[in-house]
Amino acid sequence: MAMKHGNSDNRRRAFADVVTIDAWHDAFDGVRSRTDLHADVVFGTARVGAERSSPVRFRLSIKQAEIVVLIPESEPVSVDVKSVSREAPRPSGQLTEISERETQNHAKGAISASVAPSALQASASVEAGAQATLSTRKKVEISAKIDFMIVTSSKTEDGHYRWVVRPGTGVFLEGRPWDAEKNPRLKIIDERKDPTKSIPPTVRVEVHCRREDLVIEDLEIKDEGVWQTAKSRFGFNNRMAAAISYIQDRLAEEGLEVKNIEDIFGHVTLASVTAQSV
Amino acid sequence: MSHWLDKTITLLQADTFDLRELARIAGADPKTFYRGIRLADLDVSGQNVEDMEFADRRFEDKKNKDAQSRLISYTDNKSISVIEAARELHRVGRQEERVAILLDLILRNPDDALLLINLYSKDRAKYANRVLKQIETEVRSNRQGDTLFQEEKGRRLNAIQLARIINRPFSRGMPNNRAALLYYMAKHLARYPDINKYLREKITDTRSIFIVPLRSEIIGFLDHGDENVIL
Repeated sequence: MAMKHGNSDNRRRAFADVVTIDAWHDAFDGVRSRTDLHADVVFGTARVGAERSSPVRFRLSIKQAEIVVLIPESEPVSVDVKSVSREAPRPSGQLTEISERETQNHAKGAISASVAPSALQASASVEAGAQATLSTRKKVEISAKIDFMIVTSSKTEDGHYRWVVRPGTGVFLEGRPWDAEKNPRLKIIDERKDPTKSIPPTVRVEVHCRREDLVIEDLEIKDEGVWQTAKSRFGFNNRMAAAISYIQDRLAEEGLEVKNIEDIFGHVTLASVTAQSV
Repeated sequence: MSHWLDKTITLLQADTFDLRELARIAGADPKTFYRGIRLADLDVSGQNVEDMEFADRRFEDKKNKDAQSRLISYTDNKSISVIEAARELHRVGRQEERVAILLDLILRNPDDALLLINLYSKDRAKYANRVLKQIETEVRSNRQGDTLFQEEKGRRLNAIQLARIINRPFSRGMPNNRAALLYYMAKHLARYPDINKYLREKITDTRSIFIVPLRSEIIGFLDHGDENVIL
């Protein structure tokens, strides 16, 4: 049983490394009834399997995720619809691509056509000279602004506000999708009738992804000899696919919103925090 | 003492590389187990993966579903889905008639031409297959306005361009094939004025013994087509 908990902890730790989240808002002190909800989310890569008992190691990252603000129906708090962050600022950089190509022109037709028919002599010599192939090198420089992460706001089926985050370049999420301090997610409104006599409302912020959004990379067996043999056998890609799918299943199981094996492709909860009142 | 990753060693060292068998070893349902894996990265020779989901196949499935639900004009009074149209086309007995109907469908539904060609995919006869490939090449060339998010529609070809494309492979074939093509083009395409004119010129020029017995019927189609002209 202790081992089972240990395994579960390892998986939880992996999630903690791929995404960390902090959420906070100014305290509802009876005077203030509207406040900004901030959520600081950082995506990264987890190295899994470092512990001695693990036979394999791999890197775990997330292909795409959604960040959801959860307000239970029972909580006396509402959202100021106008305040919801619709256009998240995008951390961006400059992508420059230089491609070079060689173009060849056979100039014969063009040049001989420009010579008057009467100047036959001249025409012949120009034509001969122009027989040679002309080569020019063309350099094309394309510059475009790129987004490291693309954020799209929408609502979940249950009506909670969410922001779907996808990588602008690359295959997994890395870094912060927004500046949490400067760009709060939304404004929450304290709906208590008598704030002095009841407990302040609480909201939660969660990060979800799908099972197939769990990216497993550089999976290898720690025992070098066993690893080399495994790699050299025919059908290795299929065995690798099965091993990756198995890891995705186990990780998804750990973060399943509903503990129901039928729902293995439902949302995996990577992180969940209650917004702190500060 | 067991570790949650122990099973990965069993899988990586398994004697089999059969995807179903590996899923069973993992204690999972083979149908959904490889959802996050690209089929293109696997070795599936000799394996039946028909009902299994893969990351890259889901996109294809979606495209097929879209196509299945998209209705196109099949005849003047009948609209059917592109997949049904492709299926109907495969049922037609002669390659010359299949080609003529395909051309009619493309002219009726120019924006779905590429989808139709992709779904029809392959004909069982040589000349019809060449026609298919040629049309696809022409439709795909000089595309304009394609973006990452816009569906690929391809170039709109006019009636006469298409007529020439389908005539080309047959012109190198047997005279009876040519005669049959002329006959079925007249039957299905006479109401397109450019094609009607093109066919009339063809039938006037020819002395083919295969066309002579069909001539009056072909002219009948062309005259009737004149009454139902599509501009």
